[in-house]
Amino acid sequence: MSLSLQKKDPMDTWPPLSVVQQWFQAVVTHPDGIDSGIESDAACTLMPMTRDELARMVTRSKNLSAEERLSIYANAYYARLLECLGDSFPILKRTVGEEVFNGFAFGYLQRYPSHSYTLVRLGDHFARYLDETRPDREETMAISEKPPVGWPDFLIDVATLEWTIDQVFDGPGIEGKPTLSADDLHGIGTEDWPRVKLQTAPCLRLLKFRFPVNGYYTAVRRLTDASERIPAPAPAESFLAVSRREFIVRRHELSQPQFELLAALQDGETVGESVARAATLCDLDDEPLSRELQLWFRDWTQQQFFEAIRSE
Amino acid sequence: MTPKNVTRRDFSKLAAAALCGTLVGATALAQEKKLDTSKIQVEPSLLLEDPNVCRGINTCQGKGKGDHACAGQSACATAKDHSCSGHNDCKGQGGCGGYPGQNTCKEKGHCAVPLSKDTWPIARKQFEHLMKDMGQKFGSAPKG
Repeated sequence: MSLSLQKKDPMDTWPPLSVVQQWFQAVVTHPDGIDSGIESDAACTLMPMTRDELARMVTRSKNLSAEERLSIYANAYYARLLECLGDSFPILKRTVGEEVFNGFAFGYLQRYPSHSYTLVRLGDHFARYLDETRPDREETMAISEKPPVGWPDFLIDVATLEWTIDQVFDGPGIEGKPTLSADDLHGIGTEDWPRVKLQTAPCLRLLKFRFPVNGYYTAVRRLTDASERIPAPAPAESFLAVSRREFIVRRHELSQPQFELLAALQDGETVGESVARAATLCDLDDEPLSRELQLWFRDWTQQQFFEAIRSE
Repeated sequence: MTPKNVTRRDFSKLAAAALCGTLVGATALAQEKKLDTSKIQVEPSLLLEDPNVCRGINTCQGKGKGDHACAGQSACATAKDHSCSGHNDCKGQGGCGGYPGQNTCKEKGHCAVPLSKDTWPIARKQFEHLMKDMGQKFGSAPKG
């Protein structure tokens, strides 16, 4: 598409390219379409013009008016972003249906417009947006005791899980890098071990949910019929570790003591402090808890949750 | 024991159990890596060789199936379809594991070709990394 200013126009001095670009962005990204975009404060501050004057800025083609040509970009902008959000949250989209999902997504793009050069960051605030706009928000904020867990919480949990999986997939990982090995542990005695701090892998994320969304996520992904639905599970607190090995995102369900232990290690607490935190949540006696701890640390080390011993 | 009785816990014993588990896990991981290296035998550059294992990982125009304008936009695999682990005809034609299309021997690939919906993003990501490393241009990924 070509932009042009005709001679003897009130705007017959070319504005700098950066101004034209900003004006174009303000117009095509306006949520109410290009008519409103042209008359928006953002666009008028850059290049004041009325809709009738648009043809002086954007040339018309044989078949399309300037307005129609500009609308192609405006429509494509939102269509592309909605498609990207749909790709990032496929289970949520399937859960609420395409129409409702697109409604959420469109509202989200108004409140949290894309500011990054990369679409990888597009859904950063989506779960927060769902929480901010939940229909029962005022109601739940007004009551002092813990509000009952409901459908909006389920959707927020699903969105949080999906976005975390997306971020772990795209983020830094441990592929090709050394992780905690037997050599690292050489020379560390049982008396030193409680004071040791472990560096967790950069791709390890620990999540706490109000619903058992991991099982739901897996079940929905396995559906082959696009029209098939699975009912939302009943509320139940659940804990999850999401990590990545060999470029595959892996999900590990955790108990609450396991979650608290890993969270403490990730926060930089010592092994001793972290184990103590988990122990306060366990009903097990020392003997069975020792056996459990041995298995937990074995699995987490083998799954490469730990990158190294922290040098402090 | 209830959670209230934690002050009577033997924390040195609990920490020692954690250390023991960590050592066992680290040893198991080392063995797993050794086994993986001998079993899968991967070579990343094979992902860029022909025939390719799925859509959007062709290195040039004309080296993939379907209409496509440039690298990275083919519609489907040119490697022979197969449905499961070890059924690949040749090196670089196996499916998943963490290294789709990078197996160095016949019958050493994991899973199906064309790649599954879970494996394709891994292959595409690795394809993009390899192409960028070589300074090669490629098109946006085709739809599944």
